[in-house]
Amino acid sequence: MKISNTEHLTCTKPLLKREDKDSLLFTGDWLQRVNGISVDFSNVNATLLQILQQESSDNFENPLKVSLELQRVSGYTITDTPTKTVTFGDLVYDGSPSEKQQPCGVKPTTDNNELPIEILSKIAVVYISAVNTSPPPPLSVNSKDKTKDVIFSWPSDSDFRKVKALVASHGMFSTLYKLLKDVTGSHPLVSRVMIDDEEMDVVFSSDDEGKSLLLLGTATVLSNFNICHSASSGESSSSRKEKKQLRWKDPVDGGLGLALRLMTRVSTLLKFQFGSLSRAFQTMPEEKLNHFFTLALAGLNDISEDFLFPQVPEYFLRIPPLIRCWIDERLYAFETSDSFALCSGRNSELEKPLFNCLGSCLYYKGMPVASHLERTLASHFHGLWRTQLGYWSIKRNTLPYVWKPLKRLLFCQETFLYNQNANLDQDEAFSADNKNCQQPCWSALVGIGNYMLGMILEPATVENKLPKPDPAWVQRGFNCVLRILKSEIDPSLERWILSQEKEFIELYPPSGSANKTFLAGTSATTATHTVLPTPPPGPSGILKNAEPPNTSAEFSRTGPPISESMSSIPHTMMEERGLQRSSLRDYSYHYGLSTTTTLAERQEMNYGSNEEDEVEETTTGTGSDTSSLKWCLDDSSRYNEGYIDEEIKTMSVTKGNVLFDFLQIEAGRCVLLSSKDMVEGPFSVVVHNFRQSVTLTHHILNKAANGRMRLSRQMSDKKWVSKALAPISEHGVLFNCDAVDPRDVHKKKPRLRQVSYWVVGRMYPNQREVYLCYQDSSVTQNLIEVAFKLAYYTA
Amino acid sequence: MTGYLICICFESGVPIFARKIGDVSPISWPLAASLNGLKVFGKANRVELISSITESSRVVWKDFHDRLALIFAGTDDSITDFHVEHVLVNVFSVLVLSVGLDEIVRTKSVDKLKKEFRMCYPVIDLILQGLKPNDRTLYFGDLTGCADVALQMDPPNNQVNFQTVLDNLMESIGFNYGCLIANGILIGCTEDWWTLSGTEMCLITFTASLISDPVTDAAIFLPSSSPNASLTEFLAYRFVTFKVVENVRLCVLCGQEPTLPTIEKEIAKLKKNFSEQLSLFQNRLTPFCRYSRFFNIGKSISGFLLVCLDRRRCTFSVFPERSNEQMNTGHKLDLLRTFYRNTVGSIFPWSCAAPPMFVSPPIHLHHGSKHVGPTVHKASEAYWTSEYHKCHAMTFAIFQLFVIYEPDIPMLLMRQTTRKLLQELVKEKVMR
Repeated sequence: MKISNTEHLTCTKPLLKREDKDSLLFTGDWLQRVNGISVDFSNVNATLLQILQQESSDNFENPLKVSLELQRVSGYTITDTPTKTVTFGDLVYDGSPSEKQQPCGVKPTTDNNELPIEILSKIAVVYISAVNTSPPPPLSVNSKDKTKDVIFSWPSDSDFRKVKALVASHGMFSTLYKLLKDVTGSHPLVSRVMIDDEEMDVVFSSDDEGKSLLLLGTATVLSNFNICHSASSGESSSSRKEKKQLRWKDPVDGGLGLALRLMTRVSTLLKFQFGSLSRAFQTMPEEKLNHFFTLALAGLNDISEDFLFPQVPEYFLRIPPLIRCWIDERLYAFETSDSFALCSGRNSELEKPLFNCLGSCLYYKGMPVASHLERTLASHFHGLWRTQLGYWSIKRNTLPYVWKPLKRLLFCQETFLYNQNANLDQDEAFSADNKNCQQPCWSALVGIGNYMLGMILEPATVENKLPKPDPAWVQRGFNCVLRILKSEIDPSLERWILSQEKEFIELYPPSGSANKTFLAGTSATTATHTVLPTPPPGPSGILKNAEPPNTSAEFSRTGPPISESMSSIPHTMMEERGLQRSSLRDYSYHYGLSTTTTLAERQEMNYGSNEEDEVEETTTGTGSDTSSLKWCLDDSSRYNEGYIDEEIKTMSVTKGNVLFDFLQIEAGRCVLLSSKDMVEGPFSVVVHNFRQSVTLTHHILNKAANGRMRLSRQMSDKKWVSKALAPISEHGVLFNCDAVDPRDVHKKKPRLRQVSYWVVGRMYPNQREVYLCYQDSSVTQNLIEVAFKLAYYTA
Repeated sequence: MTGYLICICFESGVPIFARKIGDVSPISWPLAASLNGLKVFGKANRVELISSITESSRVVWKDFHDRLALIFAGTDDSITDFHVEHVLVNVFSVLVLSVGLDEIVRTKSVDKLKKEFRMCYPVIDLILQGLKPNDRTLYFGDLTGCADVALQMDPPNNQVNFQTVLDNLMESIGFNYGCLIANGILIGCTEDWWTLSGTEMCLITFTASLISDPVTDAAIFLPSSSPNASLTEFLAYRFVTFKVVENVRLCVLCGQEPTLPTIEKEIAKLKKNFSEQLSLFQNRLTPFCRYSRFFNIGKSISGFLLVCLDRRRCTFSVFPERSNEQMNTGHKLDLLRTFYRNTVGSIFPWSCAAPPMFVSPPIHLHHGSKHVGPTVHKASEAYWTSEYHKCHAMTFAIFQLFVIYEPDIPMLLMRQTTRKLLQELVKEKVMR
């Protein structure tokens, strides 16, 4: 065993008496005693040194013989031995980058050649530091021509003129960063410059008041260039690649928002991993930095719906609540330290656990299934392992092609959180660059088969130095994964993955025929056809229909039919929960899977409604708008701040109310409510403009919120705040366009008809933003408020 | 709004002047020079600095003819650089108006320029005051790039048509370039006066409203029409102003003719015939406070601004006759301006010729039919709300209307009221 005088302990393959499989050391094995002395990570170095000193110093050339007492990870046999050297605390591969062996068959983007030249030529990253470093930062041989203050630049190829220009003028940016603080009281966030007749947005980020500065530049035209392979079925891959469709364009700021979002992604990921930007760039080798930026910005190649918050996982797998509850219970059991001493075999009186688990999260085939981490932390953790392990290319639609079951995965890295007592939330702390709030912790990921379990471990006691990671937690993590593996919920999760490739909500007509879809909003409503008269609203603001609607439809989440989904839940799990098959219908209704329910059935199932909230007798068997919505929204006491309620019940859409689309922005989580034809059919232009104009409203609302915050906190630059803009909480725009008449979709010369629609954004006091897009008609404000409520509570 | 405006000689980096907005200490010359130095350095390295945004402010750099650099650092209350750049263009136009482009570009002596620019400070301060308006900021021409015009006042004050009065006066003088300015807005101007650009009309109005002498006769250079004195076909115009009564001034752009006595004689007649009607303008709120008929359309209307894009005219009022108003005049003006800045240039077009801002790419329908599109989305209304007020903007043909409402007005009623107000306002002859 080799003793390292660095922070990491390196284990190489030992020379053993018996060369058989049982004698080999595997990652995850727990070294308990060396020569009869109990060891852990805090004393193993000292113990080995002591053993060394006892031996003669002349005997160094001969291998040192020791006896090891190990505890194997129980319950699983490793059939394939790792042959690469793995350093605990970092993921290191032998061999050249091209020979990196990934735990699963996902080929990472490792160098610049993986990104299209059109993107590489329009991005530039430069890190400047005027601070002397010791030891000197690792620079590659090719960087000899860089100025001494420029620590890093990317893309590294010298042919990219944007990078060269930024490197040459880096002094301007560092001076500007400090100068604007003196002039305006705050540092610059972003600057717009012209390089070679092309406008570029350069975003600033610094940990130390500008002594070191990270610059990320993106050409404004880049936001117009999102390659989208929106291939229809049957198209060949080559034609798919050639089909470059303009996804969206930010008409207001020409890409400013994109630059800011990219910098947020990059800087928060680096700060989470290294604690500070300066540490990241001073310690990480240039090759790894190149790799990091290639991966981090690879998302530009295919931006889907994450146009505002690209880092957060686009979605979580929506699985039946029964399975979800079971997984949550497993995760809770893993996280709580009450059972820690019992499982680890330690004497809980004498040996307190070294770490507490802040939270854990479970992945299935790389897709998040459940998370007990705070949302920002979850996104940082997600970005960390995806970047480090090169899993960025995992997308919903690529899963069947890229994922291969893991043999055994262990990834562990020191990361940094921000002190919760600092009166700042995580986002503010990261943006405030407050070094004093840093708290080191361990982020670990263990995986077997199709499952990965992530955890963040914080030290149980406050110490100057972060203790070494406790392998007991690793073992418990593997145990947890094994238990989940044995539960045989794979088929359920597999089915839900496949069923959610198309995240559209289909409308089912009241007859119950699942094959027909109802197009919402196919014809403009007039006052005579609307079902929204003027009687006063009910307790929850829901209108009462004057007459039953002409047509009604319920729509629910797509997924396998009820019978199939219920049968997919393992019997063992059902038995564990003491459930009978007949009561499963309750859960299916909870999840909103029922296509039709009768009034009597709904009244039977008591979901917290009281007598005042009984469904009106005038409703139809499938429920009218008002009753269905009432079921969803009347019990507002359930919707506590921040609580996500998954009990979405059925919703109804009639001809009288037309909702094109809505989008809720909350750290990247969004809910789309739209008929399939709206997204893909003739009104797709409406959805497209909704998404591009939302950024404008987002800017205005955030400027207003920023102003309010600066005024309320009496910040140093509050004189510069616009008092007229600060109180604004809602902004809306009415658009008119000519869209293809849906009845003429299949014609060679389709007619056009004018469509008028609103794009409205609202910011709530808790900084949550909700955006709606709805048709302009005689729809009263109450329905709009219903839509806002819907978006606010169901995201 | 808080900020600085700095003018620097582009090549040498010598500061020429600096003005400030709001309650901030004056900016030091080294800081000002450093701001310019950044741009010069960047340009030498092929990186031209355009603007920077901080948490609460925006800094914009703009060069003019590689001679003058104007830098604005101020509150960031709009989405784009567009309006800040417009302020810088206005400021440069003021300098050209007074001194002439030729003089600015060719004069080697910076000190001479500094002296000549001093007389522009009052007009520049008036432009900057538009960024932090108070009760006296009764104009919108600097923001809209249009001439501020007066609507027909409520009866009985509507008996005199000042346009007709002016037309008769100019006919007597025998010249066609003239206008009557009262309390900083046009109450009448000749047909030829409308051939000037909106910015020229606005700046001339500002200049005239700041003159205190009864009679002035000076040379000016129209920034768009004839900025240079050296071109033989364009000469500096003779800008003659006469004080008719308090707060009312006659302005004429002419050559050597007509002479001053000729004009004075006609003005004496004007004073004699219309002294009573002209005396209304001694109240600096006239005519803005005499548009009650528009505020009667909706009880919640607190103020409005109408812009005619085609004819480059705008009119406004923030004076409903109500005692329980929550916002004072300065707040309403600030609100209207901020709402305008966040709407025009990003949602509504700045001019009729502006390209569309919201475009969707062509879509491919089913069954091999050709692509349809691209689709242009036109914004026709915009609004925002807060707990203190609501603002609503509507565009119709060549008109844009911006209205402030009290916060309790329902959305539907707000839209209906704006529509009615627009219908009434576009009937005004001066706006057509």
